[in-house]
Amino acid sequence: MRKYVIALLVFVIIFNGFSSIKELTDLAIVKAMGIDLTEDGKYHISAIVIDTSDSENTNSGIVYEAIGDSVHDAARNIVGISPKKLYLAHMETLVISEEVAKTQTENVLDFFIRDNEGSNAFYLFIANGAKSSEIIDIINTEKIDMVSFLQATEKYRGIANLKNLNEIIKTILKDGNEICANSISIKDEKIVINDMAYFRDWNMAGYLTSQESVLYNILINEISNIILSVDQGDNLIVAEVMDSKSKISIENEDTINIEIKIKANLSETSKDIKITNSEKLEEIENNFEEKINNEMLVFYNKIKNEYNSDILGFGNLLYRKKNQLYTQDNYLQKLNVNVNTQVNISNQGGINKTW
Amino acid sequence: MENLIEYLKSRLKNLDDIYFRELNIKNKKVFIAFSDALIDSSLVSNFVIRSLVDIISSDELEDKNNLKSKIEEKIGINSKKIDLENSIAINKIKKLDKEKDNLFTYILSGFVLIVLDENIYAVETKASLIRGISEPTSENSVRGAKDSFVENIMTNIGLIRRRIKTEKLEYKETKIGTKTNTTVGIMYVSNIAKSELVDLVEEKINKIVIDGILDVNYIQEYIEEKNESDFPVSINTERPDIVSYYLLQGRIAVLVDNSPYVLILPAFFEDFINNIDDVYQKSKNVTITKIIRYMCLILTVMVPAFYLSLITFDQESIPTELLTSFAAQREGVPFPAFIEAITMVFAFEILRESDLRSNKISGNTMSIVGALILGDAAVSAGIVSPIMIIVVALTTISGLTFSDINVINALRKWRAIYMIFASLCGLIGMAMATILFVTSLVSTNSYTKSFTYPVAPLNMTQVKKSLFTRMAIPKDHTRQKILTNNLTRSRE
Repeated sequence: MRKYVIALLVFVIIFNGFSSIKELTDLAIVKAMGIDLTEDGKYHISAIVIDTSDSENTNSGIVYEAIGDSVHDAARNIVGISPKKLYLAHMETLVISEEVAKTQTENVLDFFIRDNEGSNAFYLFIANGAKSSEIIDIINTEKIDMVSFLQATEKYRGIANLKNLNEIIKTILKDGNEICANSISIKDEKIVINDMAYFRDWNMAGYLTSQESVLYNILINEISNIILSVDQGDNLIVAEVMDSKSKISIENEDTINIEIKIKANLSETSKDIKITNSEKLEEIENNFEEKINNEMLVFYNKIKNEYNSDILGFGNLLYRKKNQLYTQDNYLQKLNVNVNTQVNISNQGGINKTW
Repeated sequence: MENLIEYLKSRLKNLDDIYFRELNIKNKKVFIAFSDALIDSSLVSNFVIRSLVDIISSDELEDKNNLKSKIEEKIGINSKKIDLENSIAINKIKKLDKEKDNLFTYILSGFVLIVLDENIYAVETKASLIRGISEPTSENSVRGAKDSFVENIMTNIGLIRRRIKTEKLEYKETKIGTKTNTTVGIMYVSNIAKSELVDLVEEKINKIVIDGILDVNYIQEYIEEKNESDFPVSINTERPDIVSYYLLQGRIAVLVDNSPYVLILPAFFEDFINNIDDVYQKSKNVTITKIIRYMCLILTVMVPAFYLSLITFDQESIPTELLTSFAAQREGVPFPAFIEAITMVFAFEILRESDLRSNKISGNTMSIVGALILGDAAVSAGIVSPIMIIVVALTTISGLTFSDINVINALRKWRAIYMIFASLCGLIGMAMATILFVTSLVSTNSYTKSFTYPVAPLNMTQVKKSLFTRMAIPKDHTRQKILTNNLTRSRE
């Protein structure tokens, strides 16, 4: 008996968890949060808190809004309106307005990095052309499940990715690596997930195009079932990507090799073609490869000339290889990029269905 | 002779169930004494008294023409020496010594005391004061034998001997209890069981000094005296097939008269989780059953603690939908989660305890009260949340996979320890409780053997054989080294 008492005391002294006890009924579980800047430079927070007062219907949420000098201050000010303290560990969505993204990203992310309560496994969106509080309101009234919305967009359109805040923070903290974030906008009072926003030096700098968003996601291996199309003569050939792998490596001092392997299924052709022999299929594959290679090069040129943001992490790659080039400011300009794409069309589609 | 009769009568004068009778058969005085409650009266009338009459009369016939007997007949005495031991029609008869033997014990054990020619005989005429063999009540058998032990030790030995018909199955008995004088026997297969273990048990049993042994648990507590663990280190069973199974492994059975339970030792933790019925079922399908049982062990100990730590410390570990559902259910419950959990677990323990103690007539009332009040009304009244009912129900039904009451009680204690730790430190607290639990298990000693065998000390052969699977019987040729030196099952 004495040894149990001693063991208990030792445990209690070493790990006193008493202070971190949180009763479930004291928590306001936040589902989504939006951050705006007011005209006088203060933070305006709008948070969807899950309504737990009705055990039959836990889908509905309540939006609380508050203003504060800092994100944390604004979050605390919500306690004045809501009876409970905001609990961020189950947040799914964080929407920040363009204004915040362009000027205050570092401060906002700092709050979430430091907050020991949250798991930071939520998705970051930039509110494109709308206030984030408006977006939060629509998410709440339409009861949109942002996670499955994003998953579907990622899977079938490829213009968004599933990097959560943790991964974004890890990327942004790397030397020589900039981030891209998903964006969201309102179109006809509906939520739309848009092309990705790219960042430069912690702040948002602009948006990629749709095509570039897809290429970006191919390069960072965050793609699943998107559709690629290519013109072959006057015939439009469409293929669905089943598997895609890309690898970025340094070959020489200043040459970056990008290897992309794509497995796809032929899904649609505008005119009847006969793919009876492998040569015909190879021709189609070559067309796809050529197209992707060209697009990639154009994309890279745009990155280095127009965007001037190392979103692909080439700088980090150089840094890890102890390449002297990295110490120069305009290293992106001095790099040569080779793109080598292999497209493998494994299934041409059959008439006979198995069901 | 008269002195002896006077002595018996004076000592037994306050025992009104003792019956004395003096017979006078052909001038020969015979005195008999017996307890009316313990004897079978037809045995006494038909065999004892009739035999006595026959024996004494037939002696007369032979000596009819003897002059001596004629004279004796005239003066009313009969000096014939009668050899009762060899002529009475009762299977058990013993000639007693007035000085050495305790005559009262014989009378009070269902013997008839016969005083004839200064000799004292005890003749066994015990009535069968026991119920018949019935189905086991505390251990269910799906496919196994349906007989169970009764309160008579001889019947119990018979049930075991019916199954193991070898002279190697040895049985040694002693009488323990200065007042109860209870028969306590140990049984083992002599060429399988380790002799040092047999000696150890015998020694421990022989050391017992007590006024009475009423149940096998008296013996269990004496021989487990040094076991400070919460878990028992011997198996209590009421099924003879289980006893036989373990005897053939080299374990030792302890039988106590008047107890329908037999003690088997040594026992390992695994024995309490797994069930003998596995042996009666197809071995390939036993694996899932065993996995379910291990899960039940974990569930019954940890579920309330796990629930507590999730909803009071580690909310981020629960999926959001589940958390909101939990939160919505907890809304309006006035107590902290720990109080809610401990109340509910306690209420179910009350229900179980009263279920064990109640008679069958009030059983119906209780199930209604239990199901309605605890299940439904407590939720409607807002005292507990519905999820708590699920937690407690899961805990309870998982706990019912174990049949030994000592194990159930030990697990109940550990459940409470886990809950306290979880309410203090969440999942980390549960990890601490697990450290304590495992420490307590591995430091338990089962008759010089380790209680957690075959996991610690690790015995891979046995782990493969029985921990998660059961080896097919034709392939299983060996016994366990920890229990026996005679390892080959097929050899005699």
